[in-house]
Amino acid sequence: MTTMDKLCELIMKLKKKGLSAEDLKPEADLRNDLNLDSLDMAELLIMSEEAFSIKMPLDDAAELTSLRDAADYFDRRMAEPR
Amino acid sequence: MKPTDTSFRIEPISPENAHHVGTVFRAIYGESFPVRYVYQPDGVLREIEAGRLVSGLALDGDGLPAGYVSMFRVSPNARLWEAGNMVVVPRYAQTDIALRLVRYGFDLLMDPVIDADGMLSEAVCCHYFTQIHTANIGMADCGIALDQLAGDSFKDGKSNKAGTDRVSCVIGFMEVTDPSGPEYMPAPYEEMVRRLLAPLRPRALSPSMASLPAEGITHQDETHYASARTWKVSVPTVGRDWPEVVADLLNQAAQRRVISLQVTVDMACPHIGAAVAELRERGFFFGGVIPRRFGSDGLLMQTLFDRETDCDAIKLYSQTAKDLLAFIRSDRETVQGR
Repeated sequence: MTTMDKLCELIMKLKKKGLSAEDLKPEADLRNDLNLDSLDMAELLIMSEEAFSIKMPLDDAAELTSLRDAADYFDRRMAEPR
Repeated sequence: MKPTDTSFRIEPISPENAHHVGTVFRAIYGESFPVRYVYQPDGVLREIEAGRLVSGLALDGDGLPAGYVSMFRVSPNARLWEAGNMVVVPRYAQTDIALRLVRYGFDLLMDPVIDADGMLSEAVCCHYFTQIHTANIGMADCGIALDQLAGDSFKDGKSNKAGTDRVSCVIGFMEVTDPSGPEYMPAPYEEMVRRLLAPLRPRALSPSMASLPAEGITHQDETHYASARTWKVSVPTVGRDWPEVVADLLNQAAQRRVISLQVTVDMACPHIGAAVAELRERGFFFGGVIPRRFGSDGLLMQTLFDRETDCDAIKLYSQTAKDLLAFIRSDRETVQGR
């Protein structure tokens, strides 16, 4: 499973009935297209930290715009030496 | 709207903008928010003028109200402030205005004009947002009040992400001044109390060895939140009548159909060990510390009536809070056999 797949899975879990798989395009804006509000973003931050085994600074989370941004960010962070 | 839209501004409440406060609350709660002065510009200004409230209003680039943040003084220590409302008009929920309001509230706390010992926060455990942001500005998690709020009070249908019928709260604290005077700890809680207070300023803590006082009567202040079925009692002085006082609290709680009864005892009281032993005998268990509640710290004990807490649904961010919940569950099992 790719990072993008995993991220989409987390977002679907988060939004439950509110989204379909077709909405989850790489260019989709997390806030405006996927309607993730500030509570959802906090939830996604916690779920992503667990799923990708990284610690995510709040400022980094605020910078993420699209689904692709987020997947790239997690790929980059997971590739960093630990 | 961009997540970091720079066109927002946050400004203090003034006679010119006070009418916007009601607009913000109406956008979220309609006319049903229980603190009525938020709908009355004069009421908001009166609270500020009296020194009971400090607050800020967020406006968008067109000057429309987008959010509101406030802090208010907490009895019985007039130098203690509590993070109050932090509300965002739903159409701005995808922006970072909530984060900016949190930071604005933090800056208010540091303003010498408000003369604070520190700031308390009660972060709900049905989502992570507030806990993440209070941790981010440096607040320490010091307690967990189990099942404090009614789940159906979250009327927007979105904020209660845990979906439980009761919502617990993490008590956070940021300290501004040094505490003074000795404080005492009940034996069963020494280790956890030291851990919870470790991130704050140094304190003179020692074990409580004294038995209940032979003289004097107990003093208490109380706030009953009838709609939440929560009753908070602060005890600055423990007297020889303490066992009767505790029995009376339990009787009254039953009559009032309380779900959450919270009793906070002043840790400057040398008799706190014996007072807490009496509470544990009656089924109260540990909740944590409410720093500077009395000027000195308060030890939070709590009990729940006919209620099993859904601990697995409690969303906690910090490791301290997670460890504290485990400790609370263990203490509850010890005193209540559940």
